[in-house]
Amino acid sequence: MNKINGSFIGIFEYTGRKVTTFLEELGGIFTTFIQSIALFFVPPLRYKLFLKQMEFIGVESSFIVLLTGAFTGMVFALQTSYAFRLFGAENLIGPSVALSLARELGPVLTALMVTGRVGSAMAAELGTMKVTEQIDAMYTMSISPMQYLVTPRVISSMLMLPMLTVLFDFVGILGSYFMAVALLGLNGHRFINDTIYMVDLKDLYIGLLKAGVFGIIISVVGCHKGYFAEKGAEGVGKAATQAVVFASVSILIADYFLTAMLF
Amino acid sequence: MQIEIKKLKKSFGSNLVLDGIDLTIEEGKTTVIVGQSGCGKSVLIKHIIGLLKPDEGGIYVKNVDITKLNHKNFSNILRDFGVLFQSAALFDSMTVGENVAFPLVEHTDFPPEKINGIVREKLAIVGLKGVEQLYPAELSGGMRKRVGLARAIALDPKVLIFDEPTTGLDPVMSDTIDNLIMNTQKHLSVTSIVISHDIPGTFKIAHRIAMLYKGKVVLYGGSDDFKNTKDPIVRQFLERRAEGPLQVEV
Repeated sequence: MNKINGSFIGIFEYTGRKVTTFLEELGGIFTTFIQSIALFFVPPLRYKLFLKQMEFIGVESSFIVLLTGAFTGMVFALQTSYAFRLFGAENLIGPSVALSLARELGPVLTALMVTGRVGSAMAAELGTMKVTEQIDAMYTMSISPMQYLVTPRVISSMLMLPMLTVLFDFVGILGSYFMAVALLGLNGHRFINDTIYMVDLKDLYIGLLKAGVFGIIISVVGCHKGYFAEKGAEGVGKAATQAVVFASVSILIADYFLTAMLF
Repeated sequence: MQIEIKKLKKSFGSNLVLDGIDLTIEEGKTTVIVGQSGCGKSVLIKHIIGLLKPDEGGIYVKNVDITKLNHKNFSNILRDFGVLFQSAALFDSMTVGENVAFPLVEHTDFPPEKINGIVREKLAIVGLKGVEQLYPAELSGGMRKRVGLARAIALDPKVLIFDEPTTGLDPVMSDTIDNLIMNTQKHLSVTSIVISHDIPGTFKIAHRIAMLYKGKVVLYGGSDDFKNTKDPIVRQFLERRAEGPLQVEV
C-alpha cells in the first residue's frame, strides 16, 4: 500500500516539477520579449544591427520561401482540382488556394521555414557567445547584451516575417495559376477574376498580422534559448534544438488562437 | 581606485562558495588572488563586475556599495573597469580591429580616424602590429589574450581585472603576458586584480597576494609574507604538493 502511495506521490512530484519548469521557461521567454521591446525605445538606436538582421532574416530567407511558396501553391491547386472537378467547380481552385494561402498556409509555412533557418541560428549564435563569455564581456563594457543582441533580432524578425509571407502568398498563387491554367486548362482571366472577387483584403491583413506575431515568437524563443544556454557545446546544441521545437509548436498553438480571435 | 570587499557571502544551493570574504584591493597596485580550483576566485571576480549578486556583505568603491547600485549607476562604475576574460572572450564575428574599437565606438563620439589611431596604439602596447583585419579564429591563444588586453585598456580604465591570463599558454608566452600586465599597470597606473594559478608569475607581478581557501582569505600580504609563511595550506599550495591539508575533490 505504502509502495502504491509512494509511486502516486512520485507521479505528482514529477508532473509538478515538469509543469513548474515549463511555467518558469514561459515566464523567462515573456520577460525576454518585454525587455527586448522596451530596450528598442532606449537610445542609442544601432540601425546597422537592425539592417544586418533584416538582411539575414528577410533577404537571405527569400529563396527558401520562394521555393516553398511555389510548390505549395502548385500542389494545392493540383489537390483541389481533383475534388472540385467532381462537381464541376474548377473555378473555385484559384479562390480556395488564395484564401488558404493568405489566411493560413502563407504565414504558418513561412514561419516554420524561417524557424528552421533563423530560430536555430539565433539560438546557436547567442548560445556560443554565452558559453565563450562574449555576452559577459559585452556586459562588463557597460553595453546591454539584451539591447545589442536581442532587440535587433526581435524587431527585424517581427518586420520581415510579414514581408516574407507576402512573397510566399504571391508565389503560391502564381504557382497555382500556372498549374490551373497551363496544366489543367482553366481560363486564366476567370482564375484571376474569381480570386480577386472571393478574397478580401482583410484575409491578407490578418495573415500578415499573424506573420508578425510568429516573427516575434521565432526570434524571442531563439534568442532566449541561446542567451541562457549553459554547459558548453552540448548546451548550445540543445538550445538550438529546443528553439526550433518550442517555436514550431508555439506557432501552431498561437495560430489556432489568433484564427479563433481574428476571423 | 580602491576596492573594499566586506564580509562577502555567496552560496549556490547548499554549496557555500564565499564565506565572508574581507579584502582590500589597494589603489594602483596589482593584487593576485590565488587558490585551488573551485575555491571561489572567479565567483569573487564576478561579484566585482556585477555578474553575480552576493547573499550578504558588499563591495565598496569610493565608499559606495556597488552591489546595491541600480543598473544605470552600476554601468557608470563599470566604465572604469577593463576585464580580460580567461578565454579572452573576443567577439567571433568581428575583426581584431573591430573588437578593440568596440568600447570606443559604443562609449565615445570619436571620429573613425581617431578610433583607428587608438586601436593601433593599444595593439602596439600589447606588442601586436598589422593584425587589425584578422578574425579571432585566425589568432593563436597568446595573441587572443593580447587582443583581449588591448580591448580591455581601450577606454583607459582605472581598474583592470585578469581572469587566469596565462592559463593554457606556454611558459615564454606566459612570461610575455606577465610583462604586459606589469607594464600596463606601470604605464596606466591602474589597480589590477589578477586570478592566477601560476606561482612564479604571481611572485613576479604581485604587489599583494590573497589566497582563498574554503571561501575565506587564509593569507593576504606581499610576496615575502607568502614565501616566509608557515601556514601549511599556503605552503602546500606554493610547493605544488598533493599531500597536505588541501585535498582535491574527486
